[in-house]
Amino acid sequence: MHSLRRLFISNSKERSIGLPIAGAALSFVATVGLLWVWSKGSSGQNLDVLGNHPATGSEDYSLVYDGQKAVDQHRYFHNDGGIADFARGAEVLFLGNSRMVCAIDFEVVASEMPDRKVYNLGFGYDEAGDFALEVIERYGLWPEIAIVNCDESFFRAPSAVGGEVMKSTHWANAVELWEFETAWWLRRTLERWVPKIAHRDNIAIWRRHDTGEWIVKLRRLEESEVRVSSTAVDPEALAPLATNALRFMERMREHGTKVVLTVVPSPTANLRFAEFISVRTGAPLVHVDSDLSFTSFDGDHLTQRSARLFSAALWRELRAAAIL
Amino acid sequence: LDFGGFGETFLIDSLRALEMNFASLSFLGLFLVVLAGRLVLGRQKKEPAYFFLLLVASLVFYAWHIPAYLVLLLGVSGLCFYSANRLTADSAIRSRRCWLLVSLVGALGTLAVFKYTGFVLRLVDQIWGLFGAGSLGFSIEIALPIGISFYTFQALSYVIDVSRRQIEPRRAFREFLLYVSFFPQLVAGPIVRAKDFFYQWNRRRGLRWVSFSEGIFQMIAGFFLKLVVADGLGDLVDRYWGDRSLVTGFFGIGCLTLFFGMQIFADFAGYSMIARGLAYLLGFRLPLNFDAPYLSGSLQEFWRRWHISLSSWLRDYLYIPLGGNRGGRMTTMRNVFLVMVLGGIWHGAGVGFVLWGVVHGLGLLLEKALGIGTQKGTSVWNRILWFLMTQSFVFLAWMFFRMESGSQLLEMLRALVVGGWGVESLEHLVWGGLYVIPILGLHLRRFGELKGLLSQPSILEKAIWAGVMLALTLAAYAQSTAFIYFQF
Repeated sequence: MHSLRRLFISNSKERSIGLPIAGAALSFVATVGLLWVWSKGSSGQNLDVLGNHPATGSEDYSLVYDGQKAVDQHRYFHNDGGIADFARGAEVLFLGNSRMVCAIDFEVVASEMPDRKVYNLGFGYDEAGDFALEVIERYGLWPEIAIVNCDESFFRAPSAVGGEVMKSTHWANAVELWEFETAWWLRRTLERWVPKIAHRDNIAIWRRHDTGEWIVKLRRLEESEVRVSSTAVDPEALAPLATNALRFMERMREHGTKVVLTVVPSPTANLRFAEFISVRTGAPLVHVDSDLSFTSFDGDHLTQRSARLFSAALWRELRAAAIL
Repeated sequence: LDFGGFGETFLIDSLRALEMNFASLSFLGLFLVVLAGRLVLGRQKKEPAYFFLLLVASLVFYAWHIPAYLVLLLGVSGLCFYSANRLTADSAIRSRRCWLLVSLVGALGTLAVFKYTGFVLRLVDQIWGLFGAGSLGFSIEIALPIGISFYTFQALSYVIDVSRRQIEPRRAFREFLLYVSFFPQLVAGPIVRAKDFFYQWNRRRGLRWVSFSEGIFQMIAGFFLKLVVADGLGDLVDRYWGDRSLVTGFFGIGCLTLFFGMQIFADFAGYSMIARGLAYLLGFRLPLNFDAPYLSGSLQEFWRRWHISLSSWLRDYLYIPLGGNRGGRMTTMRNVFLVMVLGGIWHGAGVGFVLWGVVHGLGLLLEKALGIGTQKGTSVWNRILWFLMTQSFVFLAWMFFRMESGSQLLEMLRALVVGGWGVESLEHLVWGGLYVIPILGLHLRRFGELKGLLSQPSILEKAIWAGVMLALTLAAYAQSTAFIYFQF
């Protein structure tokens, strides 16, 4: 109490407290006011993208990425809040990186397979299949069919993000998730009062618990065409990836899971590569008609319209191949 | 730990690291607990209970990263504490030297193992590969203990000072451990000398408005420099450094290098200011670590203003013991060069850091040979010319510090010579320029003070600036909060 009293009551040797506090408060308010004037009418303020919950119709959480860590990988690897349990019992699991997550439209899925459980277990940041496999193994999520987006990143080692998460303890994970989520709440609250200086966030993503799908909100949409290329591959150079792919398939098959390959249109998608992996591993390749026109919202991931197109076409092909 | 056989990968990197940096909420929680203790524990804040609280908080802060590494901190501290006590107890010179050597080898050996083993093995592997012998096929990845470079140097300075009889050794290990692990400066400095820390030990720490407000101001200014300036510039620098096709000409590369130089200043000086502010609030003073380094008119002056606690450490514990400038021109030059190279290596296990040290060493030699910055009474124009040359050199040298590969560095140096505009987006340059303004303002203010044109800012002036900086910091409260200097 003695210390507290001295904080608020100055003596003759020390300057008064009131004036500096008033000065700081005034300059703070004036700066915030100027920021409001400066940012008025700007589409870059986050409230329109990040602050508005998309009403997914299910429990969900926002995907936060701070440049080093991603909340998505944290939550699934440690089954935080029982998130991985939602994928248990799924007959069809979609696996891949963010391109796969954005390529599957669950309205189409629901209409095509109303009675069967389907889950999207893709991960962002070019996450590899080994990470998803670890999650599947830890929580016994073995499906009947795993549909894999066959691009090079999937058969590499886990990403830096996933690699770090796989080393983390439950305690470290819990602390980091708490940091993520509290900081998220704090930022969103702050932004209602203090506008951001720089407009950094163009995209916000939420993930539904029940289907694993991403709900993507964009600040602006700049569509560009994406397609699957067909470029020759060097089998020798790709031999290590083929070995990894084979190992992945064998672990899935040990648990009775049938692996099916597909190729989601993107700048790096290569049909020849998928064919190469398919031949080496014996996994069937289901390729969606390349005459269809797909567009991306960021040059890499499919727009919602293209996702519908892709999902419907994928189902047609899966049925035609008698896989579903 | 998987210590595989020769030819396999040794993996000691399987320990998961959590970060408790100053911008994390975990740290906020810890600090609030300590601050509460500051208010209620003891009357004069020099009672054992208060120091015990600080020690426990410091160890929690350190263990938060990788708990197992607490053993390292305790080991290095214990070794240096014990050696210093034995040094004092022994009167024989031989024995004293022996104990000094034990602490030096132990502490520096630990630093070398944890910081440089992987780098050296990679280097050997690459050199081996140059002779067409292929790869040796093994590597070591060791998770770097946070702040190891800082606390090792701090503990060593204590032993050396005791051996020189400049300070009396502490009798209680807990006091020494608090000096080494004091959390505001544990992971990124400033490197505090024992005499600068322990003279404050028995001082009363009543919560005075002047020191409290100064602490708050330092913290707000530090967070502003880190979260607004350094992170803002960092976004630009990372983007353009990562995709070199976006910046090609002299102007673009020049701006990129300028932005990085400003970023690293804001990052590191910001951290140091937060550390000093925290220490103020807890009743301690930490030394100034940066004093407007980009005002320097010579490299020698730059190193008196940049990372002052490190450069003075290197001067007192390396340069002077090597002979300093007492052994003639050639010896002086050798010592200067050696100290700069070792200073570069201290910053990290990478070729870029070594080259940065070499470049600065060569620059200092050239400066000494030409007598730059040492001649008094030179004209204003000469001083301006030297200032421009010095700063151009300093910023050019940052390219070595930031380089990601040798080929990238050469490409950038070539682009500097080619000339031209070479910038993709003028908007980004303008943003970079805006972020640089606070640093320029800070330097101009200091220049005014040095020239006697301005007086030290009053509390009211600081309060007004604090309000502005707090608003901007909250506005820019973004997601990236890792301090660059944590990796050192």
